[in-house]
Parts: sequence; structure tokens; C-alpha cells
Amino acid sequence: MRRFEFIIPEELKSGDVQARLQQSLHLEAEPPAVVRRTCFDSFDWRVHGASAILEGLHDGKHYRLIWRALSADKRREQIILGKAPRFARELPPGRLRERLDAIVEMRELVPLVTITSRVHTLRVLNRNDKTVARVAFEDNSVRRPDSARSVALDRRAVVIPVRGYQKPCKQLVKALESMGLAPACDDLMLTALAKVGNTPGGYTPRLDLHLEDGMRADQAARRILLRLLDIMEANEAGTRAGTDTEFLHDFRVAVRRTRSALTQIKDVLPLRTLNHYKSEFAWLGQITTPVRDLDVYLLNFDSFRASLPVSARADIEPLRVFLDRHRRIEQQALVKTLDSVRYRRLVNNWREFLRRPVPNRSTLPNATRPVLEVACERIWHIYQRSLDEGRAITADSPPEALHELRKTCKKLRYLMEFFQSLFPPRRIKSPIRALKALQDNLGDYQDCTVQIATLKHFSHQMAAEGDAPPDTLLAMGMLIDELERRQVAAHEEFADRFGKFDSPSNHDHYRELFTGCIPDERETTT
Amino acid sequence: MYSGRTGDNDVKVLATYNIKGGVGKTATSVNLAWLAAHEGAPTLVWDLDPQGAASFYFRIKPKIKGGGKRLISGKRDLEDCIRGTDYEGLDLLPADFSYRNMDLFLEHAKKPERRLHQLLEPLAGEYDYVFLDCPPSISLVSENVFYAADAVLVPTIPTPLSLRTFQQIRKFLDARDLGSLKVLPFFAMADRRKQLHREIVDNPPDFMTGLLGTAIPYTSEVERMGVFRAPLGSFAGRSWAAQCYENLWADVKQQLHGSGGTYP
Repeated sequence: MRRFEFIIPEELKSGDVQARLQQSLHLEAEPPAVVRRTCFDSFDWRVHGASAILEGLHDGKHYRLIWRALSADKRREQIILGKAPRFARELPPGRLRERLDAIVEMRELVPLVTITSRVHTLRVLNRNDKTVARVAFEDNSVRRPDSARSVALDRRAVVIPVRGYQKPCKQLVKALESMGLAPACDDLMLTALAKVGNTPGGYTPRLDLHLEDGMRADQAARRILLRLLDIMEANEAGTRAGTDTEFLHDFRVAVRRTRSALTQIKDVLPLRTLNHYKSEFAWLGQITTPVRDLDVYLLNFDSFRASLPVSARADIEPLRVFLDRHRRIEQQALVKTLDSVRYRRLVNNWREFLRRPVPNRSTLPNATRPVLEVACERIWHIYQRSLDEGRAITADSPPEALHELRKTCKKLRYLMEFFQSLFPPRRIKSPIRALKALQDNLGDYQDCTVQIATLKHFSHQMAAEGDAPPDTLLAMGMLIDELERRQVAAHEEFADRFGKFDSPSNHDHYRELFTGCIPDERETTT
Repeated sequence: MYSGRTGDNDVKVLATYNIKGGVGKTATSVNLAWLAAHEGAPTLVWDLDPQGAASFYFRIKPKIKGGGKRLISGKRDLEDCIRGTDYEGLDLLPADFSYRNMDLFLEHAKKPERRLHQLLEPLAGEYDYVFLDCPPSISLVSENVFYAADAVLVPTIPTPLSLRTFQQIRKFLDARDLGSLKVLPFFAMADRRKQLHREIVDNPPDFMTGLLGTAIPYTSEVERMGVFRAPLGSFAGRSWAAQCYENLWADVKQQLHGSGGTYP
């Protein structure tokens, strides 16, 4: 039910408002209370993205985790907990858990801001001394969770209706309005976030770049690479902490995109610089792989376990222990590498290079060309390559052929995302969607291939470390069987998915979008 | 084949039921519903008893505009009849004296034994728990309740006559295909001063399958709910009886969710 929030003007005392209400309504005061509300969201603002607020409310007795929709339905879910959860998976099963699982998934819930409210609640009673409405007077202050310094917020009067008793609620609203209280436009939590300078949506792993058509290609490439470096650095602290797996994931995606940009946006960077950073980012990708590989297993562990027959599920647990232990070791090694001079030098020098103004003239063939031309040329070229590779794949093709196509598709996807802002948003979505469906299939196939190989490797490693009970090895064998079944299913599905990607209509989309601005385009794949 | 329960997996419908009157059905509904809401679970009590004791406890007039007939026929929207209680997250669908003719109203519905279930369906997304406080009888109302509920809580006084009544209820339920309906008897108004009560509580008969571990004592605090017109936890939360209701609620949740967690 809708609550009505009012801001109490500075010149008005809460006590005076309460006294005036008492003149016309039968009120009873509840004992004053101090309520602390902490706003949580993932680092990438997923709760905010779902138009909701997740808050932990401590009223001195209980700790409640509350989901409040900011949309018109004002849907509210809550749950009592012993303490603030760090992950959705820590919540007991139920509606709130399902909601958070779907939205926040595996991401850590980060405390963003805490509002402390001194609350005086008055209950409006009817003739039977039954509560028919409430009005809460709140003195609010806000602080960052990592700071002891509080800042005052609006004082508010909140009218809380009781279902089935509209009249007293209307009376309260009218009385407060007549005293000059203005309705609060913003949710108090959003006001609090703004007050401490924490902007919702402040981080996104998306590129969100705006490139202009006529921009020089080398300038555009630097802007893309700089944005990717920003994403990497934004995720560095979380990657070091190692508790939320997605920091490393986003970090690695930024590294992978950087490598792709370096190789795919051709002839825009000086060759020596290019070669140096290609090798440095390849190293960065390499040193972050072991932890991510283990993360993927641990994130999927429960679904792996569930795919086994009930009798074998407990047998797989030693694998979890093994993965956990190795992840800790690899995480330490990763942190050490991120502390290294080589890494620091790479990041600093790269930023310095990208910030440098581009030279007026360049011998590099693409550097001074308009970015739109270069973008179209590169996308069209890689698109054609993907078609050639895909058409050559048959039911007997080895996994490597599908893997090669997967890599080509990834390059194509990255290129389209880098240059997305150069094309009409509606028209670029369709080619991306068609590509995504194919990539999902290729991704499933490749994941199975890699997981089968890694599981075999783990089983040898566990045996060598004396950690492999026979039942665990048997259960791992069953997992491999299951993955092989999925791998076959993905391969069987490939022809259909690729057929859609290779359809005349999709081809038309690509041609219309990406060949119009290429000089001397000679279409070779019809 | 019985295929009842509300469509939404999350809402749990609990009925407090016994053929006998004065065994603590309403006290159980009111106190357990208060505990559920107190834990943060949106909860509704439907006072199905024309005597309106649950409505009395919540200080809400036992009156449905247009009477029970319009409510059951669907001419009056159930959601419009719901009233908030004094406790956040706890609502009541009040009783109405016309509920004494509920069997007649139900008979006119298309699928008479499923009508309550149908009426409750739209509320599934709104509440985590719905308590049906039933009148003492075996009737079409009871059949509706068994169809709509996930669990039937049967307060039973530890006396031979009450045990016999429970056997009758069990026999009645066993004769019907009630699918996954849980029948959860528990001892209520147990007086430790009485040897017979003690013997029965300590050695419950075998036919009381599903018996919950907590017995609710016979205490004056429970009776004082009528004086305070409030759930026990709100005015005597530290009393022994309130503690017993808390334990009983934990037992019920264990049966419903398979864990003693606090999830509503």
C-alpha cells in the first residue's frame, strides 16, 4: 500500500506537528525507536537497474532485509535475518532469495550508505482502540558505511495506511498538508545516496561510448582502449579481494576486449607499441586464467552436483574441497602478480600512452581515416570470415574448428560493440542478436570441451595429491559423461543456429549496415 | 485426484481445525499468524467462524459488507474485505454472522468443494501465510478448507474424548484423496497438574501420526488474550505460553519448509 512521505520544513518542530494532529485525531504514541537502514547493491548496481532498493533494516530487535520496488506497484518483500548477508545464496529459500538470485546472481551485496532515523510513531485509533493509520516522524542522518561522520538529511513525516481504513489516512495527509508540509519527491534512500555522492549506476561493465562518424580512427581506438582500461582498474580492488568472482570476470573481459581491439582495429597504432602491449595484455590474460577457471567450476558446482544421480552427489564433495584449496593458492599468486612492478608499469604506461594526443600526420594506413569507414571494413571482413569458417563445419569437424569459429565470432561481437554508437541503435541490435544466438551455442560447446579436459586434469592432480577417493573419481567420470552428452547436443544444434546466422535476411542486415561506407567494396560472399 | 493448494509455491495455507469447539483453534491461528508477521512474512487470517473470535481478538468488526453470500459468490471482491490489524504485515479477513450459512453459499458454487481455494488464489502473490480459522464442524466448509490448505493444524486436548475426535478426523481425511495435505495434530490446553494429561502428552497414541513436538499449556495468559484483545506475543511475549507458541511455530515451519529457518 502506498505510503505518503512529507518533508518537515526546518522552521517547524516535529512536536508542534504532533500536537496539532492530536487536536483532531485520537492518537497513541509508540515508544520512540532508532532505526538503521543500510542500502545494499552489487558493485554494478543490479538492484538499482531493476528499479528497486534493497535495504537492511535494524530496529533494535530484528534485522530485516527488505526489497522495495520503486515502480508503481511498490512491491515489497522482506525477511528476518541474523545479520546482513553478503551474497544472495546465503538467504534461506523463498521469494526474496529467488528475486535476488535472478537479479544479483553471484555478486556480492555491498553496503553503500546507512541512514539512521530517530522515529516517533503515532497510531491513529478508532473507537475500539484499533489502529487505523500510523504517522512516523523521522529525524534522519546519513553516513557511508566506512565512515563515522554523519550528515543530516530531511526530517520526514511518513503516513502509513492500514489496509481497509482509508479515511483516517486521508485525514492525516490533509492535516499535514494544511500545516505546510510538502510531499517528498524522492525516496529517502536515493536522497541519502546522492548526499554522500554515491551515484546509482556509477559503474557499468558496458562500453557505453559515444564515437562520432568523422572522428579519426586512431582517436576512436584510443578512446575505446582508455574506457577498457578504466573498466579494468575499476575492478582491480575487487579482483584482489577475491570474494566476488565477477570483479575478476569483468577485469578479464576488459583485458580480452583490449587484446581484440589491438589486433582487430588494424593499422592505427605504431607497430612497436602495438606489439609490446599485445604481448603484455596476453600475459595479463594468462595470469588471471587459473583463478577464473576454478571460479567457473565453483560457481557451477551445485548444478554439476545436481546433474549426478542422488546416490553419487555426496561423492563429488572432495572435488569442491580441492577446487577451494587450489583457488586460494591461485588467488594469492594473482594478487602477487597484481602487486608486481610489471603490472603497475603496464597499467601506468598504457594510460599515459592512450592519453597522449594523436599525431597530426601518420604513416599508419588507417590512423587518420574516418572511424566509420575503418569500423565497417573490419566488421564486414570478420563477418565474412565467420561465414567461411561456419560453412566449412560439418558433423565430423573436430572441436578445434568450432573453437576457431567461436573466436572469430567473439572478435566480430567485440568490434560491433566497440563501434555500436556509430550505427542506428535499432538497426545494429538485430545483427548483434543473431550473432549472440550463435555465440551461445558455440560457448556451450566450448565450455563442455574445456570442462571435460579440465575435469580429467583435476582427477589426475587429485590422485597425485592423494585426495581422490575412488567414489569421487567415479562421480567425476559421471560428470564427464554428462558433459559429453551436452557437448554432443550442442554440436547437433550448431547447424540450426548457424543456419539462422547465415540466413539471407541476416546477411542483408550486415550488408546494409556495414558495406555502405566502405570504399570499393567488392562483395565476395553471395 | 486431489490437486489443491494455491498455485503459487510460496504461499502456505494453514487451517486450524477441529470438530470440537473450545480447544484453542482461534488462539492458535492468531498467535501463529502474529509470529509469522512478526518475522516479516506478510500474513492473512481468514476468520471463517461466524462467532468471530479471531476478529474480536484483532478488534475488527465481524462484518462483511453484503454478507458472506456475496463474498463466496464472487460478487464482492475478497481483497476489498481485508482489514489491516494493529500489527504490520498481518491482515484479517473478518468473520460475518452470515457465515453460519456458509455451506449453503458454497453449494451454489460451480465446484462447491473448491470454492475457497479459488477465492484464495489471487492472494497467493501477496501473502506468505494464510491462516484459516475454521468453525467447529464437519461440513462442506471443512472440505473446502482441506482442499485449500497445505497443512491442517489440529489442536487436541490430551483427554480420551478429544483423542477419539482426532481419530474421527483422521478417518474422515483418510477416506479422501487429499494429496499432499499435511495433518499436524498437537496437544493444546495441556494441564501438567493433571496426571491423565501428563500421561497422554508423554505417551501419545500411535494413531497421532504427524504429532508436533510442542504442547500448548493451559494457562491464564492465553485466556487473557480476550481481555487485551491481542495476540499473546504482543502483551506477554516472555510468558511460558508465548514461548510454547513460538516453539510450535518452529515445528510447523519445519514441517512446511523442512527447516527451522526464519524465512517467512
